Amino acid sequence: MFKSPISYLLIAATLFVASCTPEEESPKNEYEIPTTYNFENVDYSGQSARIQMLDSLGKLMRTSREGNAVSFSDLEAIYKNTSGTLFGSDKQLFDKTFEGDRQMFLDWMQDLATISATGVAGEPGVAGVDGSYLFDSNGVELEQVIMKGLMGAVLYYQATTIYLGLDKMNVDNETVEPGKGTAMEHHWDESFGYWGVPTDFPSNTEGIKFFGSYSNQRNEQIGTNQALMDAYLKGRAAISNKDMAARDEAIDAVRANWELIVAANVIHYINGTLANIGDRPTRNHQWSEGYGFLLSLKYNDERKISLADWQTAMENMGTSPDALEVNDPNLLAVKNTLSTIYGLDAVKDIL
Amino acid sequence: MKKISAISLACIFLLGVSCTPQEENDSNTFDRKALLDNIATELIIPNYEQLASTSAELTVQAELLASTPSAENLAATKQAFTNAYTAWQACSSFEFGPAATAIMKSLLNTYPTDVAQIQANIESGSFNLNQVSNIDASGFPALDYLLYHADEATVLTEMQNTNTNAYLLAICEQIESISAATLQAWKSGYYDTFVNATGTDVGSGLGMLVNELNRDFELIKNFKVGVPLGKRSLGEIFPEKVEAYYSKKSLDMALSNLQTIRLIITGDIADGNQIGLAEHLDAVNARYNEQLLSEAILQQLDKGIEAMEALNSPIDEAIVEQFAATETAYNELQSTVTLLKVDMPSQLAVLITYQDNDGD
Repeated sequence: MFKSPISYLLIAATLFVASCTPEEESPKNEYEIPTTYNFENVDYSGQSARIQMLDSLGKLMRTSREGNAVSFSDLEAIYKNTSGTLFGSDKQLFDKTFEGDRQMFLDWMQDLATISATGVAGEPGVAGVDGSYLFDSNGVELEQVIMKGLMGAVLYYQATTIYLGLDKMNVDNETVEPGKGTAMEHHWDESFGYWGVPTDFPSNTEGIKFFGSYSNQRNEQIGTNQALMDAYLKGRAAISNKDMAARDEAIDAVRANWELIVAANVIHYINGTLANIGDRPTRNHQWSEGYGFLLSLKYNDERKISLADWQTAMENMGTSPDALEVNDPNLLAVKNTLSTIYGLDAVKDIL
Repeated sequence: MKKISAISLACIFLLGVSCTPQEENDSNTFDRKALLDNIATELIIPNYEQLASTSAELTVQAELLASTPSAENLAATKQAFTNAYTAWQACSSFEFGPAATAIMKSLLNTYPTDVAQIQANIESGSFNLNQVSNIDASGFPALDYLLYHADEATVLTEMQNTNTNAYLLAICEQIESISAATLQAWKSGYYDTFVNATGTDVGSGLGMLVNELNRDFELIKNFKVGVPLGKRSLGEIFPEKVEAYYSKKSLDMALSNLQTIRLIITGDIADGNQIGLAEHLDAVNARYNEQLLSEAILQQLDKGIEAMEALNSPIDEAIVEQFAATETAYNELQSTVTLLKVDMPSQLAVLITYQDNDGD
């Protein structure tokens, strides 16, 4: 673009003019951050529907614990919302799952369905119900791996990597669609919607789901209930008031606090596994929850843990809780790695 | 630029005097036809001409290679491939009208190419390149594989196989025929359709140009850089997914592509009237903070281009050897997206209609 002398005049002119036009772009310096998620034009009904779908998927898989055969096509119908009408929504979990892992979850569902149909009693090396859980032949409780894994691959992934990612955050923040806000506000609300808490959390904990619940269960040690809520409130208020610096701080805070919830739960379930090392059903159930949470850690693309450290932790977690030892050094390595990375040394034994 | 700057200047002075917000601007008085004509006459049609002639030459060279698989003919075919692929980069932002009808971008440049499918097609000797299943086994990425995947001696041996060279030729002919047909369509009527659609609505010349420029820019950011860099895979890198992987020309191709996008914005093509999207933005007095939006866009775009130029190897190697620099390039491109996709369309009253991501 050739720059003629006249364009320099033009720049000078714009500077001159700027002095008497209102400062449109600069953020309002003073605005109130509400204490509950009651903003104008908020809609995260799609996220609420998906949370209900994940809940139903869990309930259906859970019937396998009593020895019922669970059909794969029923699981798939919920996972993909094949009818397009579940909870009055055409949304689905499948197409919001991290793309690289969709088939893995389907394969696990298929395995769970196959095992549930055998009706055999489970023991090391034999898939089936043992105690009050259904395990595969390695002692893995697929129900837990799938549920905790999908919490990560859908809820956590969408709430952090996708909705707080640059593609969804660097969007229009001027045009308000009634009921949905600006594109940027809407994306923020959708991220919040995946957390699974009421708008007046944490003073109200009624109906908390998934990460809302797992934040609450570990809250005494990690304080994420208020910290994550504050981050969401700050970010939404910042967006509505065009305060992008505060928004960016809030993005970091949401990602960090959510990651802390995931990491603290891995440690919690490792503790539970090691504390119940001689009780196969309890041990394996706890290990499977921990495995699912550890898997989940990767789905935040701005995570604190490096990909290499995460891969090492996955290797140390192993693939069979039946192969664990007393005070298993590999599980302890995972626990210590995470507590170091996330600054949880002081609470790692009481998580 | 000169003429329009003077107009904008006048507008600004008027605004300055009255101190009113510039809500309703002179987007209706800007001569959009002059913009569309400049882009079509000086950029789109010449670029398609270049693609048509280079792809015709590619077929000629490929025929020579098929009949005489010599080192000389292989080198000439590789050169013709590079010329035609580079010419394509200067056309890929124009995926509307005839190109859209022909699904040109998908047929000519879907990567990473499916090596197994290519080998299956060659082995069977029977294939239909227009079939959906062959989209990722044809076009330039398939040629990239066929010509460059192994050392010269190996490729020459392969070219002695009738099925292999028939497959190579079929792809060259497909590229040539799509390119020729698209050029022909522009020359025989579509030019008029385009320049006379002077509105800003869906289907207008400006609407299509801005939408496809954005879509193409996001493809550069996401697929030429982002996916290999691990931006869609939670940090796990996939260097082998770059464009032009085998020929090691990923960086050159991406830069050619970016330069064309830059030209659509500046409109500064040697013989034309110099009117691009920047002039339109200036005419409606589009601002970005304290500066003109057109300047903000070009500054940021140039940061992206410079960051790409700072890579000293093909993108797949840069990801391994200069990860931070490659990530910087990605981030600069990412920062350009907002200006191009949010600020520019809203100032030009154009709606972005393509779906880049599933919503809600």
